[in-house]
Amino acid sequence: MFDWRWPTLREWRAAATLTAVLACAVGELEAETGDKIQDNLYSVSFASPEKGWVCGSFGTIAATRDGGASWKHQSSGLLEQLFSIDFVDESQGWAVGRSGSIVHTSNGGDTWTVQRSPSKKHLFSVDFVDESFGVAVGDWGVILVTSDGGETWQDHSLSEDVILNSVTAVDRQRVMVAGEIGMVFRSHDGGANWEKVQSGVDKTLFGIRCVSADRCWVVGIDALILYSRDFGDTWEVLNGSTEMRALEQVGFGQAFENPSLYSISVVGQFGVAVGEIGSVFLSHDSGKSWKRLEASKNWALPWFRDLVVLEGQRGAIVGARGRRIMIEEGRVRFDADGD
Amino acid sequence: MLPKKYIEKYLYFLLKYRIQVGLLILAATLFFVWFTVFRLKIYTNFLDLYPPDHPYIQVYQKYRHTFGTSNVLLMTVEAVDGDVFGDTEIIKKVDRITVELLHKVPGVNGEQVISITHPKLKTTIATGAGIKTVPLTYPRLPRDEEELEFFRRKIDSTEGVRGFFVSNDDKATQIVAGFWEEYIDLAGMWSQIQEIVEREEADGKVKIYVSGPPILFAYFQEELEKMPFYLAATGAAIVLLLWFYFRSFQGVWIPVLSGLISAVWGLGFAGLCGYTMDPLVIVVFVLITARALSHSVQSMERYHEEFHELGDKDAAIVKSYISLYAPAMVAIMSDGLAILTIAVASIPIMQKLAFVASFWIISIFFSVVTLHPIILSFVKPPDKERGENIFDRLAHASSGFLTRLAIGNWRWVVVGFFIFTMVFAAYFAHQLKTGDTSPGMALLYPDHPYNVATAKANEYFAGNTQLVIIVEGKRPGAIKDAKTLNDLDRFQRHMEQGENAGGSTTATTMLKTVFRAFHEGDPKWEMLPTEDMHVSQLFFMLTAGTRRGEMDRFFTPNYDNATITVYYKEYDHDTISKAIARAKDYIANNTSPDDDVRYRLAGGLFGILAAQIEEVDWSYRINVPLIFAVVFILSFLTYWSVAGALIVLIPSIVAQPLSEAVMYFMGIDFNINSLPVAAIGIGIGIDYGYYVLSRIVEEYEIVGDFDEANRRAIGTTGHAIMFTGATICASMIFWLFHPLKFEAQMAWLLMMLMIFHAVGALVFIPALVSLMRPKFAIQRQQEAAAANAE
Repeated sequence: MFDWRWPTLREWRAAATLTAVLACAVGELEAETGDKIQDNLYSVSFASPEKGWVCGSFGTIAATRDGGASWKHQSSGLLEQLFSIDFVDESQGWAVGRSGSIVHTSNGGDTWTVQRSPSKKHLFSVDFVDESFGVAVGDWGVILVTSDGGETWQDHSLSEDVILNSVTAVDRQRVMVAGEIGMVFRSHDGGANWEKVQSGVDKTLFGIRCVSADRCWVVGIDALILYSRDFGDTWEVLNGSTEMRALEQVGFGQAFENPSLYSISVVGQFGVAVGEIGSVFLSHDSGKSWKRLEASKNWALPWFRDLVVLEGQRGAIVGARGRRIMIEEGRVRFDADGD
Repeated sequence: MLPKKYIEKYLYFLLKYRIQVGLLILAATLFFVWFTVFRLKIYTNFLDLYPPDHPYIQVYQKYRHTFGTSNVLLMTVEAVDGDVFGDTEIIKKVDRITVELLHKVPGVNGEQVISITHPKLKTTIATGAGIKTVPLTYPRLPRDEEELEFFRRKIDSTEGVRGFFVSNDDKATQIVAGFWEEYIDLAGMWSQIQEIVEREEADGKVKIYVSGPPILFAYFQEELEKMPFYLAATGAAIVLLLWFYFRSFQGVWIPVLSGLISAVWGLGFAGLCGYTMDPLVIVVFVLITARALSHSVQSMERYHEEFHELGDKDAAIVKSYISLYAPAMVAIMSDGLAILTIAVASIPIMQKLAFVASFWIISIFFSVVTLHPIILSFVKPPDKERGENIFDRLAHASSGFLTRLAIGNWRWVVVGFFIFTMVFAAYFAHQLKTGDTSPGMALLYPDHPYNVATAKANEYFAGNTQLVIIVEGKRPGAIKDAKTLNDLDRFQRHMEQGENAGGSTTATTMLKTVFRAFHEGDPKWEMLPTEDMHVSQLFFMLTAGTRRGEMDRFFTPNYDNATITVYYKEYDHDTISKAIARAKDYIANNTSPDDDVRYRLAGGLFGILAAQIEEVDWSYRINVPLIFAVVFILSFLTYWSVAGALIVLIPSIVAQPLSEAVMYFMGIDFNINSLPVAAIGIGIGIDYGYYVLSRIVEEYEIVGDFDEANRRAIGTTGHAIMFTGATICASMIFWLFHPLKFEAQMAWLLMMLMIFHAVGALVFIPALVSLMRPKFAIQRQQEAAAANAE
């Protein structure tokens, strides 16, 4: 006869271990399956080669724990567009969006909480240098700065009505912003005061990225890529057309030749810029020269709105209708597009 | 049962006034002939397929003139080699077809014609110099390889074109055209489309697949032209059968005349009511005609029997019809009333079928039960008794076996078998779902060009079936409101994320594109404004750049109402139910009575099908109990006994789940077309039971022993049942090979149900009588014995 007794401690431990292993296996399985993401994605941020986040329309936030192989939705609690996301490590991250929306997580996105914003204007870009200092910019010249991880945001908005599309912070003092009509502003005091710098173009600039004070790029309409070695004092045109033409002269030819570029990222020798009609520009000389990647005939041409480049010529591009395209060993993996 | 003396009086009355009654029937027949010839229309009337009182249909009817119909033709132009951008001629073909659809094809709603060469499809260019919105083909159709490549890129960079009008692999492009239901000329449209297809395919550069509801019905209409052949073959088979049975000219022409008179009355009644009859249900009419014939044969047979026994025409007529009258009346009434219950459905096609078929069956009372004694009184009876025919031999051969099943332990086996059949059938019946399992599959075989075309369209494009949600403003200009538009946008996204949704479009799709364009094409501005003033500006910009009517499928010109259109690849029960439930769930949880708009379900093919599914589900739930109730009441009135009524009813109770199980196994879609056939199948075979039970009771009166009564009933009524079964099989056999899958499947279903009813009557009813020993029969026998003793 079977004689029942309480399990020993060792047996309990063995059962617990088995359960944990099974739970992990199930977790892995779920991670491999991933969620379908169909909303427009506007921004991507990676805290490590494996852990990354994307955000987009209707409050969409999704995260990967396997370097972009699969993605899981996270609940931002919002239905507003989230235009920009930035993580400083695997726990701390912020996303900003429409009507002054700001959300924050301190646990890698398991939970997101709304932060109080002093502005109801759309916030298009956010950049944090550490877990306390960050800057967000947006419509109507709005600039918000925080020094306490977003507990409080100070309004340092510009007096002029200008759409500020992108912000990059080199450190807690030096911050640069790019916006419409070729406007670039910089701050040397952590965003308290802003100075207009001459970009040399009158065309809208959509993205700005400084890897250091002496290596900054801006990208914009008509495939513009500008480069500054002196934190914005001077700008060199690396790509695109600065010439202003009449609307009657503009046709699709020009639009295809010189598509708008929305975002740029350079790490080491390797750099990528992305933009309209599926355009991807690559650099293999630390961003000094750029070459457009030839579009494959079977490659649909959606817009790409943001990208991130990581060490080892890796990275991720995000864009229209949930597109997530990974960059591996300097190659853009169009064959592994999103879902 | 009806007292015999009344029947006898009625029969003598008929014989006395045979000329007057005959003339009356002739006059009525001529009256119905006139309506059959001059007023009856046989074609598929689209509006007959919609339940007019259903809220979805009311929404559809209210807005179809504004937002377009669900009758959309889809033309998939597939490049034979390479892709559609590989040859300028392919784009020219698309343009030619588009123009011809607009100007030549009858019934096309010009505002609902779209293709990649139609100026409605526009693209926006954002450059440093400004924004331009132009048609995709601006300034001209591509003339060389370079321009083709350029055209492809324009399509790739334009929202809402790829996946909807150009396949993701560039292999195919789609041309869409909506039709007005009331102006559609199926034959004219079909010949034009065929001409276009033939001409454009001639050079071998493209293959064109045409699908969509108007084409489905056009194909169907084409198959309809083969109907006379099937009708003629069926007629010939029946004539042959009658000849084999009676071996006399009289034995053929009298039943055929009865069948034709019933048909004329039924069809004339439809003409009199101004009904259009759907040719899909023609198999039901064939079945009813076969029923009329079998009633006729049974009465002839009995008359001949009596005549040879009595040697007097009138006496034979009276004696034979006294016995036949009650079961024939009950059979006709139960068949007719069972079919009439289908009229509870509010779908016009079903109501019309119910009234016409019911009248047709009840007309058998005149064409057979009333007219036969009159005809027989005029014609010379056969000189000698007919010899034993194949049916007699079959009946004799099987009667011993059938009798054994009805007595002793076999009775339990029979009852057990029926219980098992019921449980088995009920289990699988449960799996049958209302609606179509796949587009076009309900009517046509999978390899039919229509199904191939539908599969192609689904393979290449986002989805051909639309669910249209109407956003109905409660105040003028309600759509021009930031909150409303943002709500609508979220609703669209909610629907698009549902299972099987291939994409969606609303006014917000374009407004967001315009908003984005006016912010130098930045995708982050692909959103809706938060301020009403900006919304008004956006609407102005959007409408200023379009022609009148171009935006009608998205919002009304006065901005009162708008649409959310969601595209699906399938329209089976699950897809429709889930989509409708998803929409309802969103409305319940995200809207309030204070909102400026209300969301109304549902337009598009999904709305119509959802309404039909709900209506078919509802009416079937009501129909089946009603049929059972009619049968029970009539049976009870016949035998004045609950046990008697139940004995007749039980085979029908088994037939109901069995019919559903057969449909499930055969992959027959349970939809608006098959519901009436299935319902008819349940009710129409009930008369076998009456004939058998009545005969058992009659024989029991004589012999006072149920087993012997069973044996005699099987031995005699078996002839009639087997001949009726053969008539039904003969009437259905050619339809099994009909090119329309629906006709073939319905013929199978009806045949199997008729066979089941026959088996139920010949095997189950005697076994049950033997087990139950119904009191009403015993009582009747005792009364008869007492009367004889007096």
